[in-house]
Amino acid sequence: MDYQALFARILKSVDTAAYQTPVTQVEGPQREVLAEVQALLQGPEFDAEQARAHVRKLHAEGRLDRVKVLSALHVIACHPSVADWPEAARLVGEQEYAALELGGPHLEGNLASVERHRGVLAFLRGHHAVALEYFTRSLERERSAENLGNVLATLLRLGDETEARDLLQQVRRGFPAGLVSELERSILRDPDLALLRSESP
Amino acid sequence: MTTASLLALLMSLLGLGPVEGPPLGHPVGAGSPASTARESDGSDPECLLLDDHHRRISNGF
Repeated sequence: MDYQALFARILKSVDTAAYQTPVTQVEGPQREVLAEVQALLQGPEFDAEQARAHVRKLHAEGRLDRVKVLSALHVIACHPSVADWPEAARLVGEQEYAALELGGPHLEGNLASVERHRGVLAFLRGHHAVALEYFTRSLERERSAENLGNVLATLLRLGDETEARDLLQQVRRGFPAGLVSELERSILRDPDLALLRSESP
Repeated sequence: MTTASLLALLMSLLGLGPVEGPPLGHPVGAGSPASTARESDGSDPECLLLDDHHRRISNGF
């Protein structure tokens, strides 16, 4: 039996499943467009070059603005099978500038995306305390279950279980019911948040 | 990692049957395989495997 191939297959399955790329925070018609990119990222035949080409095509067709193009390219760069960290760092810097240039009503959401991407990069490079700072900033800009989940997962990764439980209790008391419900589903689904399951109502 | 445990993990990942013990991606915390790896001398390849690849995160657009 080729154990190396078997290992590679197992780890690919685990890493792909562990890397989530939701589109729920994207508003307007770009959400549907990015769902196409998400399907490529989560598919079994993911090919980074094809995905990048598809993103650029969507931009050329006017279906994705520059901020979302750079975001999508960053998400591809951080995919477990790509792991191009310098490219991911470069792209998130460009994304921040593009967001500032674009401005408008989605500025806060776009900057929350930038902070989230910076946090993911720090997390994947093992700088969990740095990641926590970025995820917290992203949460401040955009109160979402995804951002909360990242903060909680990072706290647990840092071994700060008590803080994670306290935060969860505060969220339950002070955040909108829909967001709390979404977070509760994440806790039940996500192995990284399993330590908080005993806290589930 | 023994052949039996490797195959059990594979079966679980492919949805073909139950697996004994924690799956890959088990949360890091007291008593978890990953924390056990940190507490040990680092010689357990299975624990190190779990720790190195336990990197769930959400990178929404």
